[in-house]
Amino acid sequence: MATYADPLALVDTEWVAQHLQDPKVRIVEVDYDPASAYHLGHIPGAVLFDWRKDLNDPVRRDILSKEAFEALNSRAGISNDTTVVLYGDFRNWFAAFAFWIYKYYGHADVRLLNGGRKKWIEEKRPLTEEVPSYPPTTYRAQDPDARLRAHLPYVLNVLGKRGVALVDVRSPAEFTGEITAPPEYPNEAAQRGGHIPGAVNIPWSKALNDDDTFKDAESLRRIYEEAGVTPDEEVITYCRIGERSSVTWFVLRHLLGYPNVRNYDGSWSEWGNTIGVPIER
Amino acid sequence: MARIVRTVDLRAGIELCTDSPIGRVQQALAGLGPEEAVAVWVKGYADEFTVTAWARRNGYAVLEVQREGEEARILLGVSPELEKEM
Repeated sequence: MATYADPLALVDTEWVAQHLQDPKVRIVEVDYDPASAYHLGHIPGAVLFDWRKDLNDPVRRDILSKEAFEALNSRAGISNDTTVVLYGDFRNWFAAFAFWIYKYYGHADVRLLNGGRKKWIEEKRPLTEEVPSYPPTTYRAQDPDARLRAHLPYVLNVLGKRGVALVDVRSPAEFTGEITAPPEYPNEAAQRGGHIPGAVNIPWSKALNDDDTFKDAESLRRIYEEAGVTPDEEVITYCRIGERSSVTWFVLRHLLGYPNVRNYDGSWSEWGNTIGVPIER
Repeated sequence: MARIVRTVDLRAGIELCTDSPIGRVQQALAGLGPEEAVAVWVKGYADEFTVTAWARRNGYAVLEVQREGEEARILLGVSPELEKEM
């Protein structure tokens, strides 16, 4: 069986269980809703990153700044040479988003827990409500790696160009414009439904097994190549707010080794609200 | 025995375009009276853990957990402490 292109980007639950006391490893739970996840019980020693508060700019719509990323890691006792293991709620969506941010700011060793929070709990591995604290560090981030991210003008500029594949990882109903966002998330709604012209719809969850672990490399390769998304192209992934697309970004970039993959984190909540941009239904 | 007034089915898990599972439970519990219960269907231990731990932490009573293979039906009600406040 073919292995993943970057096997170190993924760890399994047993690996984490063996490294709970490892001072070189910091486990981070990344939640959208910590009240129904981290605060009910988490992997012993895991610190919490609250996606809304910790990984986004508090004022403008953007991911956290380089300085805020440095402060966040310093507070969590993470050094530049720490192995950071990410997992979280909502089937690892926000953990994958955090993984993308770690790569964006150049952290050397970051890994995703295969199967995430759900698999850890399903296996009845230990949980605690105890919130750990670690001695603060002085973390230094790299300058952002702009090759990993697409902004709206960039996407507009490559529309219709050969050699660029846009992958819409949302549900088919979102892709066709039948829905824009569930009523529970009014701030993620868009004025218009549909998709970016030329995008192919490959829902993020196609990459996962029932237990939330990733499918093997061969199966993954088939899914994307059969949809016409190949490693020789530049690939841009998007969803509604950039978290589900981080999962697909992770799969293409780190599990399949596609060399040129960007996450368009503005995603549909930006595109579908922007006046004048082209839309397909 | 509490009377089931609402049922929430979380067995499909988090869908492609998700709403929050606990959000749905929370909605169903709103306005629950004494002697009333909400039945929550889950699949797998992780969701059973999440629903029961969340309920206890938020002052609801876990009246019953009935397992059938991978699935479980959890009955949630108003806890005696919450009843006193009503």
